Amino acid sequence: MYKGEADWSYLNQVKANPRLHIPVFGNGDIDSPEKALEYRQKYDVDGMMIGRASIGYPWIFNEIKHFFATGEKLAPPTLEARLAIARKHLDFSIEWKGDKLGILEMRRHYTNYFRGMPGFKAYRSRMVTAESYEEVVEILEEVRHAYADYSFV
Amino acid sequence: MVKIGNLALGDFPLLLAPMEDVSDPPFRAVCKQEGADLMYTEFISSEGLIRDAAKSVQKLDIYDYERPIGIQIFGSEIESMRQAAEIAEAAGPDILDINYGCPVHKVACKGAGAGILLDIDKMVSMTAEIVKQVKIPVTVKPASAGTITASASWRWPKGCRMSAYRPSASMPAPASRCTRERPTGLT
Ligand SMILES: Cc1cc2nc3c(=O)[nH]c(=O)nc-3n(C[C@H](O)[C@H](O)[C@H](O)COP(=O)(O)O)c2cc1C
Ligand SMILES: Cc1cc2nc3c(=O)[nH]c(=O)nc-3n(C[C@H](O)[C@H](O)[C@H](O)COP(=O)(O)O)c2cc1C
Repeated sequence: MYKGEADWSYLNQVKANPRLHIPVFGNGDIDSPEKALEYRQKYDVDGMMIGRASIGYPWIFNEIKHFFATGEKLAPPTLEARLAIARKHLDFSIEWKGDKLGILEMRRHYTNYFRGMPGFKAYRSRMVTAESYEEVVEILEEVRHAYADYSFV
Repeated sequence: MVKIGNLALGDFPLLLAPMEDVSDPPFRAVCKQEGADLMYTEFISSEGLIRDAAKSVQKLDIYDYERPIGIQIFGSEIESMRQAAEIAEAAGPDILDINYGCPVHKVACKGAGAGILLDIDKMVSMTAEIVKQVKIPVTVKPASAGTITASASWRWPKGCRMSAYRPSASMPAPASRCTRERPTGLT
């Protein structure tokens, strides 16, 4: 959807305006704690807004905060954390939109939560065709067993 | 401490961007759990809101555990936006946000979203009108920080109590896709 890099250099000009007394938040392309820190140091902003990087990876917020606070990177979310988030998202989706639509709208999220897991495609294609909540939950259980020993990097 | 109106957001808040078809309550719930300090709804059509369209009204659903939360509206008509702001405020958000940045063709070319950046005077009037309408802080999310720099130095109305705006520089103003002429004053 968005091509090219966000140009944050304008933000320094905006903040340099002496008539401006309101907070300005930078947005565009933040996708890692390192980049967040680099941009925080380079540009005069009061905070940051994150879009695409949070899709399927809500951990980005706490990862950035931890990195700012300690200079160290949090370990990537475990399989259990990913399963829990997927489940929470699914449950809420159903609660909010009803069974059918909730399951349907959740489909595009699975790949993201389990990004990088080798061989996940087979599970994914079953998840995105599963029609009932129970079916999805069962596949998530299978994932839990199949990848129990997998370590994320 | 960063503040928008009376809303204290910590030292360096991380905001969840408004994303159509993404930033719905289920998605916001997981982002909130993982540390988002301020979240926004998907953008909501002002024309949809004032006509009580189900699709638009449903997007006003916000929950207490999500606070602080902002509702984002978009549109090209000042009067519709004023009415939509009133409707959105009644849903109880902490912040009202105006989308001045959506580059999607069907939005921008109708003069809403980034389309309004072609008419800075109108953008300023619209903002002032909405700020006058609501009691909660108003934020704006423009696409092009260059445009905002221009409007900031010359034409922002006095007495405007908008509390924040975010130049989101990621989106090249798509204006040239809608019209061949770029008005002076746009950088
Ligand atoms: C799928 C999608 C939907 C979006 N919908 C909106 C929207 O409704 N309102 C808005 O102001 N911006 C919208 N945006 C723009 C984002 O808020 C954000 O400005 C942009 O994605 C750049 O930030 P990022 O690089 O962190 O993703 C959308 C972006 C994406 C990817
Ligand atoms: C882009 C921009 C937006 C502003 N928004 C507000 C605002 O919402 N509320 C406010 O009190 N001041 C705002 N200001 C500050 C006022 O423009 C101005 O500094 C203040 O009213 C004092 O008037 P002066 O410019 O004559 O000194 C804004 C400034 C800029 C550059």
